[in-house]
Amino acid sequence: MTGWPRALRRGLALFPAFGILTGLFFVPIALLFAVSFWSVKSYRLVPGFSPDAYARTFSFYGPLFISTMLIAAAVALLCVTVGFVFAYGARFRSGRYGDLFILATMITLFGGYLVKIYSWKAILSANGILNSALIWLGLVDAPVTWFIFNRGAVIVALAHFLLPFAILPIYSALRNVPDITLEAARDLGASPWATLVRVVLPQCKAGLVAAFAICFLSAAGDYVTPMFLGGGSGIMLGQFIVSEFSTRFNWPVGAAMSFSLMGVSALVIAAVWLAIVGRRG
Amino acid sequence: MNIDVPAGGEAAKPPLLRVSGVTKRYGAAVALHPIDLEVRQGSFTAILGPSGCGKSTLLRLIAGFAEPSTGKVEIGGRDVTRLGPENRPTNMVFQGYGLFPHMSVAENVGFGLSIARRPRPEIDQRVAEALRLVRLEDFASRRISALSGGQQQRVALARALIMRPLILLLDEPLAALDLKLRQAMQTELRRIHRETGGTFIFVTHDQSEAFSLADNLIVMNEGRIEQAGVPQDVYMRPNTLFVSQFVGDTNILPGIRRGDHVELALGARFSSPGRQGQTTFVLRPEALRLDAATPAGSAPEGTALRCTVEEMLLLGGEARVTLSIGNGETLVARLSDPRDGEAFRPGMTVTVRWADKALSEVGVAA
Repeated sequence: MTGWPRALRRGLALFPAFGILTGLFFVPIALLFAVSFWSVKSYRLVPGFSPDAYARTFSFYGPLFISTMLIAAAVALLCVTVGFVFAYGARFRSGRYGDLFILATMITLFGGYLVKIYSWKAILSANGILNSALIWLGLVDAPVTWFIFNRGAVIVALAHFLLPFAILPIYSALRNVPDITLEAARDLGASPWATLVRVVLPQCKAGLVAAFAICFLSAAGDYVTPMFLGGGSGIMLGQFIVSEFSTRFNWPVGAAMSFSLMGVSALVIAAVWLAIVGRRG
Repeated sequence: MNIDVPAGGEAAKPPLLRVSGVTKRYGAAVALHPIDLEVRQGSFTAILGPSGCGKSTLLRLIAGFAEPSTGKVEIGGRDVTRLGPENRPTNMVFQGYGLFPHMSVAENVGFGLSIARRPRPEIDQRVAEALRLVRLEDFASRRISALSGGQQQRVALARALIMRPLILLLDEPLAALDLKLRQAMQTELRRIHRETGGTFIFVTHDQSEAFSLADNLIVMNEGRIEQAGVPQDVYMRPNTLFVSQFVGDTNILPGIRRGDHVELALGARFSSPGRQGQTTFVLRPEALRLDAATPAGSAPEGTALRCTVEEMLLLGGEARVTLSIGNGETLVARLSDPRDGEAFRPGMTVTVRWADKALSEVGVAA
């Protein structure tokens, strides 16, 4: 025998990646999926097949679900918009410094996640930088309290953290837009706005949707930012998934909430993809 | 520089394009020295030059993608110097085409009219016309990525022509195509120029392309126009050494003028009044005649020299013969019939003749 069949050899080459993915992702997910149909009796998990956990997820946490999706959508839209403006500037208005700007956005990632949350806390809190500045300028008499502990603060902080993840795919999509197509559009009479809408945006649709998806998924699953900036009552589903798993020890409900969140997020992204990129890709 | 105008009433008409005193500087670097240029309605003009000679810069100045540092660009009598490409009656076929990859062929071609908010039926009808002109009727709904290079070239042409530009500008239009396709596209471009009756200006570094397409040739070098005119005249009567070398092969003959006669370094002497002292003439290889028989002294209206065949190359449809004059000078002759070449073998003594009017004076060589 000169060697193993080609398909088998290729299969072996894939094995490490496949093994890691299976062992560390699919198996735990499958277990969790099974657990979401179990129930809890006196702090004990009882295997079974019951839809109770899902029923509780949608009846009890329904409004929170919607709130979470809206926050995630707001964060993702903000990131895609600001990210596009930045990436467009770096691609078309910065000459050879474009890559440098992108590198700079990557460097901000070294700052870390919690550092950003705490800095927003330092900026937005009642005795924070923003209020101090407003009082010093004489624009307000007493500290403004609605800067923090609400959805707005969470959206701003999440968008700040996720912006680089939006910029990257958009920039790489814009890099594939040839300058010459912009010149051709101008030559054919298109205004800068028409060129943007009819020539640039359609050519980087896939990058925009990728940026949206990354930001939307990251925001929808986040529970740390709302914990620090969203106020005491809780505004995002992730916070309650944590408490179902830990303090309440209700794994089935926690698992059902996780899978519902995943499923609904996937639907949102699929809808966005179909609406923007369409079936032709 | 004025372009020769054929005999007839057209001479009275003002030129469609007039570029006067246009320069372009990028910081300290000069891309274009003062350029003066006129192109008449209906001409097919080639701007020919080596890379970096400023020909693409000149085209972009005409299109409006760049503004000249000084000078004026007029199209149809109107000063367009400060107008951008979107406001000029010109359209461009870009090198690399710049087609919109997310649109179909028809959407690409109709883009300009749709931007101009023309009514749908008019757009559809003119797109169909434009596609018929470039022979892509059956490709209207194709995606750009599904087209070959030559087809993409035609879409780019149709997209520009549908705007009915006063001047169509083409930047190295055939550079990306292989030889066979290039020749086919040259025929197509000539036909389209004829059928539309438009004014085409194209930039190229390929002299054979310039000669096969253009009825008006502008040769550029180092940011200057070296010579402009009817291609055949430019070929036969080069003004400068650069033109004679860039446009075809040439023999460079240094000489000295004393009185009304010029003595060439290779030993010929002929009558030619002009500026006294050092000068240079050029002579096209195909202007030389070879003769194996013994010379009968000086030829009428020309020169005859004894020389030795150094090398003979048969190049398919022609023969190139390198001749040694004896005093270290060499000449290259081109024989259009390779069978004539077979008569000459290296080492043979032959007579080379040329008519004096075939010599062009290009001044003192640098």
